[in-house]
Amino acid sequence: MEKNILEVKDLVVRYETEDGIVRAVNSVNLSIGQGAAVGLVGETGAGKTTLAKSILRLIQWPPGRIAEGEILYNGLDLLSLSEEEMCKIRGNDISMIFQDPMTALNPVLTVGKQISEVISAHEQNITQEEADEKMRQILATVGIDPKRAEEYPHQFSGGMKQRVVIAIALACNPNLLIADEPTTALDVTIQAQVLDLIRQLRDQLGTSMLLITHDLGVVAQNCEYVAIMYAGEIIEYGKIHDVFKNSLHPYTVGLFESIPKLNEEVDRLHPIDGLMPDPANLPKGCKFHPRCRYAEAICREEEPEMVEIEEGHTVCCHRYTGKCGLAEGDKANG
Amino acid sequence: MEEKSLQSNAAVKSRSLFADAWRRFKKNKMAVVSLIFLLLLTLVGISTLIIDAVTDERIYNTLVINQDLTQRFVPPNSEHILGLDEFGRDILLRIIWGTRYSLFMSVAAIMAAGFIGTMIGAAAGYYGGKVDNVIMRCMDIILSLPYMLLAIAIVAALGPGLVNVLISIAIGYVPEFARITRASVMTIREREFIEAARAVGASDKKIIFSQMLPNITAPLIVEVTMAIAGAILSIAGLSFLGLGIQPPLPEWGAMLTNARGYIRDAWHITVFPGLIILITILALNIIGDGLRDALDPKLKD
Amino acid sequence: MHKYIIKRLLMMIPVLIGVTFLVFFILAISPGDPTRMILGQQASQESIEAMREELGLNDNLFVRYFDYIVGALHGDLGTSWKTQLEVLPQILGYFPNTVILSTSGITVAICIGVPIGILSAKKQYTWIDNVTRVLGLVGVAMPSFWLGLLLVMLFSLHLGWFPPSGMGQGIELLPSLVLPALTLGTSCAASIMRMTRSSMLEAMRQDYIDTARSKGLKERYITRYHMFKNALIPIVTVTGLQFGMLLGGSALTETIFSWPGLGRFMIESIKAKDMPMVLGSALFLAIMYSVVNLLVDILYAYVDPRIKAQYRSMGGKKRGRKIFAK
Repeated sequence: MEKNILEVKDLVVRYETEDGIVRAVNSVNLSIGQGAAVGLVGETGAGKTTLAKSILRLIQWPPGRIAEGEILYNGLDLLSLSEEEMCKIRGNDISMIFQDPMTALNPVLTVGKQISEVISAHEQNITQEEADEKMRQILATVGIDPKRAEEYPHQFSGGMKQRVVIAIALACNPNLLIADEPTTALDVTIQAQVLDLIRQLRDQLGTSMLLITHDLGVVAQNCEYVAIMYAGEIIEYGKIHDVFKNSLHPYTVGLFESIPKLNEEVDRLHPIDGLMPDPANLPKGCKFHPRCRYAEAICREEEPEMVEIEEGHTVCCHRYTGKCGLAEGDKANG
Repeated sequence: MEEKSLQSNAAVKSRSLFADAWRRFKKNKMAVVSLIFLLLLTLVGISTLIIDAVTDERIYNTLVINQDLTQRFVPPNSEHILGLDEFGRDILLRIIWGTRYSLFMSVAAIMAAGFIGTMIGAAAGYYGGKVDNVIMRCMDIILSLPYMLLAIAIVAALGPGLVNVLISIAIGYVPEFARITRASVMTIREREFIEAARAVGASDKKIIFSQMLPNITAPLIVEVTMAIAGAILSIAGLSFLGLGIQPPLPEWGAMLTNARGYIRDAWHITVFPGLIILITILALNIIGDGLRDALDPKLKD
Repeated sequence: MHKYIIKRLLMMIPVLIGVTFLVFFILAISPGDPTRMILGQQASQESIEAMREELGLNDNLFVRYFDYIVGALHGDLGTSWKTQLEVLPQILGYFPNTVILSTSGITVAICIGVPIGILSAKKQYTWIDNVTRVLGLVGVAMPSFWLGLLLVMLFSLHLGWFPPSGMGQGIELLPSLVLPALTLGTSCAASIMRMTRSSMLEAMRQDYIDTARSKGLKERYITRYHMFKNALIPIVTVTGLQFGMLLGGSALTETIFSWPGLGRFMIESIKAKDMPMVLGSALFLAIMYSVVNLLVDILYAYVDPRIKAQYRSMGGKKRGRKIFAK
């Protein structure tokens, strides 16, 4: 088995607010192989961003806290590190691209400064001039004229800002890049450019990636593995090909049915009925059962275990644990 | 008929908003305590007015105004909880009788300022264009004077006295209310429900009063609370300088005017009137903060 | 940038005309006959008439205002009705003392308010935050004249550390400045603290703070360059406003401490019904307040590049339209 650069084990993240405890991430297991790209797909509010931020320990207490679990980076448990040691990892070994480039950059610092400060923070004995020189090279790499280093974020367009954010993330050649919906806030035409840029830079640097998105198409183009997240849990995981061709979890199936396909003639799309449960008030048993067309008594009572169906393809559903008849479910449905 | 349903919609919306706000406000213990304190103070103030009316100010004249120089500077004791002042008058009773000048006058001044300011601001925001420009430039001019300086100048011109102090306090707060109302009116002017009201033929006046003002009560209530606190401070300040309420009237600030001269002889003359000003303003500010958080939970940090 | 400053100076002119007229109007309608005050109660009717003519009191308000402004532009704010001294030199004599006091007050306020505000925000939800918030509330609610009296009671009469009143000369200046500056500074400090806290909390919530953390920057560095730099604008605003207030409203503190400043001078002139003095002082303070506000606006540009860009573009033709649109 290939070496994993990141392993998340039984991670639980909670937000403890006045109105109750919000369980954003519940016992998540996820690993990313060296050089691999994993897509993390789910609806808004599924806990994707929380998971991503937890990896860098960016969850702020209060109200958020990582309650249980391990996050192993090359075998090193990040949760056991001191804040100072963690600072050395952030931006240097693992870095992150945030969702909205409009707000991810500091409005009162120049773009150049925002890139060079990450270089100065991680490279010992580097002078300001050397850091600036490196910053200009990086700007050129992401396709921005280095002369614009002295400009402020408000002088850049959305796509250009995202390039700056990417430049910041890749300035220290990290081993792992966490990209949290890097294209959601951008125009469609710009989206492709930004994804191309990320792909191209990854090829050059050999960076592993966790790509968070709700766009299955983006995952298909950029990742080798995909994890489907629902209500704070990963409910299906596997190679892109396996999951796309042989979707197991009813939610995954629903996701695929709800996107239009060019090569099939479909009268209408099939959205998944209902809404994601309120994370402050999750249902008992399988979190998906209120929306699941195959739900049975056991689904309301007992949480399903993760089971491996084919090599590297796992799913979390009673239909595959053997506790709830697959055939019956099919019969009942059709 | 449609207009009616629009109104009732707005009413339902605002009712639930205030019910929600009240529920959140109740959770804020400091704010609730402050509110109770202020209600008690108001009650006490009103009772003194009633007592004066019933007794033809006899109690007021004998206990609050009447001097007894043999009893000067008597420190706090069981009979006079807060002691006696430089003219042998009971400080506690003077504070209680002073509520009308400090609290009620501030409320009156702010109500006046709020009424005028809201009307002006609503007109500016609703009509826009030239009307707006002229009105707001005038407001800018008032705002470009330091508040205390304006109040002092007005009192200097009009001379001391209850009504003059009231005017001087009120004028400075008009622009603030106008600004808030104007901004709120402008943001909701283009919203659908105003358009709907216009479409069914409601008049300007009707739209402003029945549709817009109910929607801007929240920021105004907060501003009123804070402004009353400011007004109490200003009245006390003016009176302390000898420009506001004149002795022997027991206004809280005026009670401190002479205290400066006796600071060596009797600490209690200085401490208690100031303390009641502090507590009252503190209570108002806490209520204001609490109301803001309750009315607009998004703003809460 | 220079263009913007010039534009702002030009824009100040109508405001100043408005302010001066307002003050002039307010004070000109005040009852009382100055001629009696100057000439005494026994003066004859003819001499009073002559005096009225001399003072221009028979002209209408606008003519008097115009004459006054023309005089003011030539540095002539008239003469005192009481002492017959020229007004402007007296104002210029008292004003520096007010500046000394307000500057010390605002310095005290910034030194107390900003660090505590930052601390309070960084330690949100802890007892430190709770304590500083209560202190802030009390500070804002504190009547300055009362605080002044308490400080005198404690530090001058009881402990004997500082003089209770007056303005010392030379080496004596500093001790005599401590209590008035503290009195003036306390409520400002509380306002600045509250604003610092809330704008720091606002800045801490922003996405770019996550970005900064994800870069592996040290927390202290983030606090200083990412949070505080962004929180600065509201802090500058409130500080500027407070400074203006101090300049224009230090009458109370100056009275308590017998500080020979312009505010106290004005109050005494009011009590003496010496209108040229009152008018001159009020105008002078109002103008200073406007100037401080202008300086604060200009300072913004150095704090926030976005505003600088806006100013630059406003230097051109757009400016006029923008005002209109506002």
